Amino acid sequence: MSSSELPPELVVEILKRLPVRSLRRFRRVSRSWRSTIDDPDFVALHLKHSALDASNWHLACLERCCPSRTLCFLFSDESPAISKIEVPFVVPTSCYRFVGSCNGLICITEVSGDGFCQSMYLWNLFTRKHKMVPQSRPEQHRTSRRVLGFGFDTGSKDYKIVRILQYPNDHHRSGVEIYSLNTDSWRSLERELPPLTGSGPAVFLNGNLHWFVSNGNRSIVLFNVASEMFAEMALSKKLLRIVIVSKAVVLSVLNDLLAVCTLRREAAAGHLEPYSIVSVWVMKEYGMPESWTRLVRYSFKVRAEVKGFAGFTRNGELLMVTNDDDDGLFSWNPTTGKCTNLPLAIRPELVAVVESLVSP
Amino acid sequence: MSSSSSSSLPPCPKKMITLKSSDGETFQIEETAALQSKTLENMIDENCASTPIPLRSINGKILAKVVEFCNKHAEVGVDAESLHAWDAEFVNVEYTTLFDYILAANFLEIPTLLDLASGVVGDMIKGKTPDEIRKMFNINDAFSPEEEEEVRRANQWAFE
Repeated sequence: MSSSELPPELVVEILKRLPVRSLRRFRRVSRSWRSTIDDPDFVALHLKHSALDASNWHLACLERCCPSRTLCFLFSDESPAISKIEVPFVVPTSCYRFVGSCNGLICITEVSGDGFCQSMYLWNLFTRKHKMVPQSRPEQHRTSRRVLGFGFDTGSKDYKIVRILQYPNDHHRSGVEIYSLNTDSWRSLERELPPLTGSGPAVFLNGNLHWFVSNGNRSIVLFNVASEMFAEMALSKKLLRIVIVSKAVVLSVLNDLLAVCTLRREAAAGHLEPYSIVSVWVMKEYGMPESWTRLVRYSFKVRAEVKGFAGFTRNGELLMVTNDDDDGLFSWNPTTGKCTNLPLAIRPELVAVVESLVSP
Repeated sequence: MSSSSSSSLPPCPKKMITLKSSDGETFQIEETAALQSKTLENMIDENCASTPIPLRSINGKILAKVVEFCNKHAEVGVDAESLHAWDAEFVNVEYTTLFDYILAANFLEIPTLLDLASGVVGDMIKGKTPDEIRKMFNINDAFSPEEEEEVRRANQWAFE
């Protein structure tokens, strides 16, 4: 049988469907395969294809403050296996947290220390490549709070980190700095901002980073990664009424829609412990506050107290943190009501990450 | 190919297209099935489809399979599950035949067939070694041993 030869564009058809691990190995096949796999256009095509398939989405969490090393746990909706990857760049004595995840790149920052010189890294844990982000000009950080975000500007094809310094004694003063991966440098912006909440990774969706304002989560502040402008987006009246009485409110992404998860505690007749009431809202039309719609409201009567949320999995399960020391983290399917315990010992911070070849 | 219709309406004559393979075989295909191919659709739109359409890059054996694929995917009332099973059986062939399907699907612009065949080849090769890949794809521009060692060192973990 004579074997037909495929022209390069059809080899690409096949290669764009392969896991990163195989592609890294296939760089050894030939010069032409290596240049195909390294080509930025192929990297973009592979990413586009990879993102469409739920099995290429993983959740990553860092095991923090381990005395000798820091591990990154990686697991997916599709398989129960958890891979553990040693974080190659960490200093053992420091703690790290996620700034965000975008196109397969994860941005990680050091959180320990005195506020000065906190190192940041960009990391693709599928290609194992990382890069240390250069330090920005030292500022008076001691009294300030850092709010961070990581996103992609599709126009200039540039990954950017935004760092907002907020001063507790001066609510109108914010120092905004932008890091661009293309130029590998920081620059400052003059912007006026309300105080923001910024404990978890900022939500990146539709080219914008999102944070709640810290004054009772009454509205959402957007940062457009391309135009570098901030804007404020109101909540609907209905959602606002829930948000202001909630114990925990978290911004997230569900099925490519901006989502808000709220948690309330309510005393229940005949029960010693109050219920944890969890609601999930989505903004059906992005940018239209009146399109906020409640998808689900559920009372957890038997489980340990729900304390907070860690976002959604790609298939729409809500990750919840409880006060149970042994079974701290649950994945809850709002459709079936089923709860699955995730075997992670420490209260983790999670980001969703898509498998890609994108280089930091 | 049966042209009988179970419809109670008076049978409307189905418009047929004739395709001619590189080795001279001719195949009849209903226009509705042929429209899955953008290449054929364009020819039909331009009224170039009256004579047998010569497909010089596709032999009779492969063209017969492609016609079979288009007919199956044009059938009405096939549920997704049984179509999926049919597709799995359709691509249960040697990789050389899959390459021929990919070439034909690309030439005729049939995205469903291109996706299907490329996906199966992807599943076949993802665990293979560079050597096995070179054999399968008939690749001769391999690296020198020194170059290969360098690439190998650069992404050691992918061979673990």
